[in-house]
Amino acid sequence: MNLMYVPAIAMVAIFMIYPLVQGVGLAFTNWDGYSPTKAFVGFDNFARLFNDKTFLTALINTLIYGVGCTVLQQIIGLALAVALDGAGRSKAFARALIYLPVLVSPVVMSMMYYFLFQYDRGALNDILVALGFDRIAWLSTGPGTVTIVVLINTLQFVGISMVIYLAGLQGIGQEINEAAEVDGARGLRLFRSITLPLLRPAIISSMIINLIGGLKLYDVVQVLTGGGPGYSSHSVSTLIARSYFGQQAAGYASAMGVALFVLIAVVSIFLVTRMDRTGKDI
Amino acid sequence: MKLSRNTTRAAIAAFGVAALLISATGCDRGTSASSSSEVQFFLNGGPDTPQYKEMTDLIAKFKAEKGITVNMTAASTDYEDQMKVKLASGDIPDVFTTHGWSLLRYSKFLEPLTNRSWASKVNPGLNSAMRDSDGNIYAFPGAFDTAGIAYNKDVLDKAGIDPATITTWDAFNNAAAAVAAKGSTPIFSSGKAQGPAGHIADYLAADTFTDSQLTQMKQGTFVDSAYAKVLDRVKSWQSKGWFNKDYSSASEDDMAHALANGTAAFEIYNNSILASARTYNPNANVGFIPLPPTNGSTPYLIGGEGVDSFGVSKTSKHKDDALAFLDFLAQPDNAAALAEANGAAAGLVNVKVDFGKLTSSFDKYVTSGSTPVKPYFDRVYLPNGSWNTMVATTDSVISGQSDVAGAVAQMKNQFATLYGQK
Repeated sequence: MNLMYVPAIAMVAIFMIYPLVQGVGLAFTNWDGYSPTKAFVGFDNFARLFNDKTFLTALINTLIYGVGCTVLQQIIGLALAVALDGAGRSKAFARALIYLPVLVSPVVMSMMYYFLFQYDRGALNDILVALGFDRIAWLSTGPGTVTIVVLINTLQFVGISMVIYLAGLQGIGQEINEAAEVDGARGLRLFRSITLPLLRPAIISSMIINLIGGLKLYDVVQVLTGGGPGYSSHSVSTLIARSYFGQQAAGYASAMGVALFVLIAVVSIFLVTRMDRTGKDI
Repeated sequence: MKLSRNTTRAAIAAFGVAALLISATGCDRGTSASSSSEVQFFLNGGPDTPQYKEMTDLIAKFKAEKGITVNMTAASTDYEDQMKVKLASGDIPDVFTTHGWSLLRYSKFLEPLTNRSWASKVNPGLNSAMRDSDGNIYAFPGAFDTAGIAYNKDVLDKAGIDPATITTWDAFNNAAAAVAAKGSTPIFSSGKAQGPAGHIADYLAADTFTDSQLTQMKQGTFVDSAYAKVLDRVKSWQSKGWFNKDYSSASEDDMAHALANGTAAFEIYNNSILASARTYNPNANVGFIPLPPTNGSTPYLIGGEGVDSFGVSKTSKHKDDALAFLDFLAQPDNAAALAEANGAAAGLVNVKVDFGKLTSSFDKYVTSGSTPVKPYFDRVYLPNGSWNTMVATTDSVISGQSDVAGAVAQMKNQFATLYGQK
């Protein structure tokens, strides 16, 4: 018997499987989150999800956060990786600088951005006023706030994509590029026909990491707006917290959690399957 | 990879051990978790608040007098969430803040305090909020929370407005228009703080529903026409641009700054904002007036159990020490210091409070007893758990993210859901 498995399995059981099972169980109750009693309500909480406009808003926002951040991070991350690929002190310094925000807590980073976007005493508005313009209420509309959240999250975590693409670029043998050049491929054509296809495993890896991070986004939204104005910038994660504690609907919040879990699982399985197939192709 | 039979058994055994461990830790549910000899105290107030500073001094004084150590943990905006987690997990502090909910939310977790020497001196105005049908009380009221419309007198003076004349909503609207004409912000609130918007709706609702509508609410029927009137008033202020431009990103601190620095005229919020404003500017010329009536004929204040109210867990292992601590807080000098730090009236009738620059407002409207005090609307007429939706829906009207009909529909839906859980 291989006892070496036991600690790992016990940890997974305590910290992952047990909470997951408990969470799914709660989704079938009307628990308020703190009382000693709870009643079984069947699938009521799941049925309610389909008629809840707030949940729909949060779900759409979550998809925007997930897909928006992922797309931007791929484009910017790849561009940075291509620009900063190779040796040289300045390139190494630039790479470190771009990766640095990844190491900062998202809460701290969000607070810094909050100070940037604040109406009064905010750095951006102070600059606008110094240049003779009026202040702008950056966080006063839903679409505006969602856009700002996407940009903040993208800028913080673009370093991860850059590093993955750098690893991918450095994995492409020089001889492949030379062979392509001999065949007449150069510049954009070389990038499009040779580099990009060979980066497909890196693209899929980067997309999975960014997509899951985006779909679970909590910190930036919570710190920047708390889901406001109204409910307009909530992600499913922040709405779960709001429903669980604020609205004392722990059962319903758990149903949202299960829905988010299924969404992330489906997306992840789809992408992992794609990666597996892509890997075999290559 | 194929697991061998032994490995599968080991996995099942590990899972079983984990389940047992988790069950064992769950067995303590409902029992106060503190096992040290110190009294564990969970305070609803961040370390930068006047309440925290005052309480720190009182705890040191209590230690010197009784030799009992009170270990205070400060929470801030997430107090309620953290407290719910503690209740759900059985990790209940010996003493904790009940912030207005000693009866409706926390009484089943609290030791009845009816037989304490100070209990008979609790202000009768708090009876409906703090005593159950048998007359039991579950918390020491460190403050009798009264609230109306906070104002900065300097801003109103510049606009030629005497706050004492604001006894109708028309007068309030005229004052707001005059303030706006002078370039100041008529009404300052905070969307980011996730609370102040709810206070606006809560205070207005207290006098917008008729008696029969209030009865319907208590019986579980949401009267959307009356609630729409509340939000219509908020919407009219929003349409005129009377709220601060940075409403969505402004914090509660910004609210205090605005009053302290004289950049805003009114804030419809509890009086603790006045105490905070005075910490930023001790000379701030601030005060409060009652809310103009909507259905009734006289202006009214909102009141009830204050934020600084404290209960003792009925499962506390240090119950005697915890009760001694509450008795200590209830001593007139100590209770007065707490109420002053909170900028509120005392919860006990034998306690005299020095309100400083707020004395004239308190004397005129609170101490004299001339102004009727209405309870917080949500605590009496909405099911427990509605507050957050009240905040978010009012917030969505102020920020223009929702129309009144949409916000009312959302409240109605939440009301029905929570009422069904009761």
